Amino acid sequence: MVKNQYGASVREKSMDWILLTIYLVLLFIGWLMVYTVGYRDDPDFSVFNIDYAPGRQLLFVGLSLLLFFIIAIIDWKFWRSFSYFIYLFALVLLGGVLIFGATIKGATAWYTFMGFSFQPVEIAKFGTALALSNYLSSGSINLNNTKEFSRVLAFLLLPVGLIMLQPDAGSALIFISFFILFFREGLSPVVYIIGAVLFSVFIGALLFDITAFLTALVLTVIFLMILTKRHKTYWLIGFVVLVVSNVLAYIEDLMLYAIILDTLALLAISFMIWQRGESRLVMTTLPSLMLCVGLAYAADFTFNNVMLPHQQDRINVWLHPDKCDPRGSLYNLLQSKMAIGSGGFSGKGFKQGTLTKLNYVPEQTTDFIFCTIGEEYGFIGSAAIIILFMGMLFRIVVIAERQRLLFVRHYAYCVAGIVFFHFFINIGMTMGLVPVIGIPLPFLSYGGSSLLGFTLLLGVLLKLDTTR
Amino acid sequence: MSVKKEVLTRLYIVFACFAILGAVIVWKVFQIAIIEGEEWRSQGEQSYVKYKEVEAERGNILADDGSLLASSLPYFEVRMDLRAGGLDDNLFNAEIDSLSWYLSKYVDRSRSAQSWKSHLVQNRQRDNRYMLIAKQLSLQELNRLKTFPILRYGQHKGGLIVQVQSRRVKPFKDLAHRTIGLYRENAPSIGLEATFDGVLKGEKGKQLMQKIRPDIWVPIDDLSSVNPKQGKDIVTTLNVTIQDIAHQSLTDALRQHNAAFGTAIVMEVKTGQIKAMVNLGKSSNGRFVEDYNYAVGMSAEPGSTFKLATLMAMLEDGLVTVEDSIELNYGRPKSFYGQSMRDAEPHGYVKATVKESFQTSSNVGIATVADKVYSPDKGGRKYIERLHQFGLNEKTGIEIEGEAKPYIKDAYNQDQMWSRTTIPWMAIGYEAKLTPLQILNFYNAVANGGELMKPYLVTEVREVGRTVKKFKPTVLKKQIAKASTIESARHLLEGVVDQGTAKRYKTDKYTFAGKTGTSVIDYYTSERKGKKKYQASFAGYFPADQPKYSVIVVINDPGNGSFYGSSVAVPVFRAIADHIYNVDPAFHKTIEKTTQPQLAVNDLPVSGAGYTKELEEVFNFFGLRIRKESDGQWASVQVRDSLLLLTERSLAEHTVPDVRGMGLRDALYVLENNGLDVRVNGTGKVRSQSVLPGGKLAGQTIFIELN
Repeated sequence: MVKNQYGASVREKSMDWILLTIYLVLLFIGWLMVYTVGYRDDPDFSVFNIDYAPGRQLLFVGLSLLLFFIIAIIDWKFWRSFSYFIYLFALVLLGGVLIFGATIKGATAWYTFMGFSFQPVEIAKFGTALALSNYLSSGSINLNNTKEFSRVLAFLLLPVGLIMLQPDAGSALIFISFFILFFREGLSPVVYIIGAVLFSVFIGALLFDITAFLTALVLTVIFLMILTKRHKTYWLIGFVVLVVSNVLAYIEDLMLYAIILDTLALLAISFMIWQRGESRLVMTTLPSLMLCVGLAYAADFTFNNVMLPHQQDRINVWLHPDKCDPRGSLYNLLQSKMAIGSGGFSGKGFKQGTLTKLNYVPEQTTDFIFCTIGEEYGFIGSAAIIILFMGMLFRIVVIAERQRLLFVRHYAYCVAGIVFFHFFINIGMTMGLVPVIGIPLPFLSYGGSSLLGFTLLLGVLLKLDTTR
Repeated sequence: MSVKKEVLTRLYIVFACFAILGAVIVWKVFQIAIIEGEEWRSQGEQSYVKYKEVEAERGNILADDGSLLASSLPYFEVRMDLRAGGLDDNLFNAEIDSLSWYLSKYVDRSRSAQSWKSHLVQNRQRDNRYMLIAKQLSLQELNRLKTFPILRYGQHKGGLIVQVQSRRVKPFKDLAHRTIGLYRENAPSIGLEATFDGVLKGEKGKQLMQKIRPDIWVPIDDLSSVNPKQGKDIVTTLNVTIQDIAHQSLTDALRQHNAAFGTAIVMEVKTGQIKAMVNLGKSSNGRFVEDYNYAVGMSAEPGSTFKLATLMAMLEDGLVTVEDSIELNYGRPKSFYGQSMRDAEPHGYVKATVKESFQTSSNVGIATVADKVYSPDKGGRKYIERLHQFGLNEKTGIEIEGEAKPYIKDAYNQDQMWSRTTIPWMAIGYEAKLTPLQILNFYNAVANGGELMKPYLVTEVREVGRTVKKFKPTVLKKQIAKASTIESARHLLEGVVDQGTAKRYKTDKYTFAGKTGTSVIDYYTSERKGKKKYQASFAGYFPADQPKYSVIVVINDPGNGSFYGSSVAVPVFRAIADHIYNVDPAFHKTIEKTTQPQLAVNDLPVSGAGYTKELEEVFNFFGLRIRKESDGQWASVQVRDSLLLLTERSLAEHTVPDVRGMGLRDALYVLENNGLDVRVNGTGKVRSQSVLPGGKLAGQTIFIELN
């Protein structure tokens, strides 16, 4: 028996079988994919031999089910009561890994013992979700109050800071997923719009020639300003002349003159609008424009001076694949696309994926497991997996919305956010939709930490859901 | 907006975000798998990966004592991937100058450092990922190149691409060159290299290659690669010493007589093993080199050596005895059916026995008897039948491609221009064509008591030193003629040496038998033109009583006056026979046998040197105790108390290496890789080297003496 938020006792409900089924199906498919890639024609090979990937993954699946069972018998209140403790424990683990951890591929992110390794970031995601959910449900916290929101943000920034020290930018990026929870809980859409604009400007600056990009930005602003005027015919003609001269300047490589011309035009139209008495419009537009210009240059500077070469490569592969070395930085993506592409509509069949089997696709059991699905089961198989994930996400949101306890609702949105981010980024990167970020595909990628971490996230959700 | 409505809106937005991004992913999969699917598939399946054949190291050809006659040494081709993943502008710009300097100093001096630099820079701009740096590098040169700027970072960072090839070397250079043969990729191989190609070539390996650009393939390490299987070795019957002496004496004779070409074959009587096969022709610069396998491929009218077959046919048919008398009339020209015949060498016989005619090689004598015996009653049939019985119409079947088929006319076949003059002229070795080897094989059968053996060159196939196949002597005909006929034939041949044309070359040391031959080449045409060309030959065997080796020597167109088989060819036979007699212990009384030696370290004749790893393997195999005092590639071996001490044999760079004590293969490898032209003498281990260790390397010729 549990108590609802009003203190009344309610009966514990049964587990949500739809979500449970999706979880078990993904678990099974995940193991099958690791098996098809990790299968070896050796006499020693067996699915129970943990010297081979399929054997190890079978062990992890077993451990996950055991973990799931343990969660099912523990009282749900444990998770709420110990949420801050678990969060602190996760922070200690994150701090400890910097000192005691093993460095694999440049990131000190792993505890290793007895031939197994464990990534504390999985606990950190879980701990943060619990602590944040608890904190948000503890009192009336207004997310649109800067002071209160910064306290909430602190919950995220602590683990993110420690993860950046590893450094593991990919895992740190996952913590953005908590903004889905914030959105549901009322954070102003302005924050998201500003975020989207800044993100676009940032990417735009990297995607295009920065001068041309900024000139286009200024011209757009001038155009929008002209539209606010009543007698705009002459202004529009003047604008067309301005655009033509800009294009000519770009072709003739005389962008400096164009920038001076554009700036003068911008000042002129701003002055006219100011004169008209709409000083507020000018006072918001011009500083915003300045901010964008600053950000664009900041993006350029960050890319060239702050980012590490491998990070630059990943951005280049994403934004400028045609300029990349097909044997160097572009190699992974090409191989991955080739594997997915060669699967065609219905795929090559179980254990027939030559490209994935022959180790063409790097990290194919972990980060690039989706290629194996694409190659062996084609578009049908890939779509099925995506539909399974979408089903899982919608089910989690449905579960979230039916809760009596705010804590559980918050937690459910955290889980939805984390799963969605992993799902979208992981599958997106195998096809060049997003930059390559080394994060696993939930339930499918080979590896104990990730499988146990997601089982923990989902298992606790299913358990908490019984209080609905 | 009510709270409920706002929550719902936000909820829908979350749902919409999930749905839209989910749909984007599905669309992208659709795009890659279905829309662009064909393109990715073709890249992924057909052209993206393929197996490349990897050449296996070709097997060695060994002499009867295991000396290397032909072997493969590795060499390297170096290319550079100027767009290697790790070769960024910083690295390239920082080290390009010094790399260019090194390349111009050590790899291609004809190109200045500046020229190398601009060449490299241009190729980098053109994205050349497979630029040729150097060909045919030795291991030493390759190792040095690996220390150069940029290249020292290896394949991924420095763009270094190394490809191994192998070069066929013949330690004994021209010795038995045509018999051993040539292995060529772009032209038909010849000799044993061609016949045993299937054994020597090994099994090609498979390496999975991946296409990274339309014309560039890079190897991928993969489980499915198959390592090439090294070719097997073949052990030949050729004896380096006999071959060498035959080569020398034939060269001397050819030079002395200013001949066109010549051949000498030494065969073991009992087995048919070819111990030596020399083929020398005059090259454009006047030197005699192995240019064509005359012994096997050149069919010609044999001349007087064929008289043995004629006499044996008549003896076999019981139509003559060796004591029958013939009119010779001083060997003056005699007309057979309008065609004139005379004896090649003048003699004083008016009348002679068949035996005397044979000993003096009287054309008129032998032709007269044959004409008398075989011309009436279509007797030619019997004659041809006998020649067939002797196996003279069959190829010997030696393992060298291109053996000419003997040309023996069918009896009374008009299509083959059989006429009345055929029998007398065929009797003395015209109107028929045979190769020197075929003639020799016939003489060998006579020496072997009538048993016709198949001549052969290869006794064993070995795989990594282990015998996998053995070739035994093959009997072609158990008995080519009655024992009495063979007996008479051998007496006739002994008579040639005792009293006949070869008696000048008789020796006390051993007995030999044989028949000289002086045939006119292109009899009918050269006879008419007056300017005759001759071919001198001698076919025989020794010792006469218990024949061990049979030998044929053929010298074509000796131009310095002397053209008789006796004076031109017999000395070569003698030189060869003398040598074998001197070195072959079978010709001498055995010295008292000592007790069987025991295998102990102290008794081992070890004072050698070699490739450390191989030495270790060998000593370990025999369970000998060793102590290794160096980790060097090459080591010297010394006997210490009861163990073998391996000390470092350092091969200093830029100086002539010390190869003393090494086996031939190791020595060749080391010397040739240092650019030296190696000449070999003897077998066993290197005893001395003509250029002392430590001398300056300048591509000079080095003679190494083995014992």
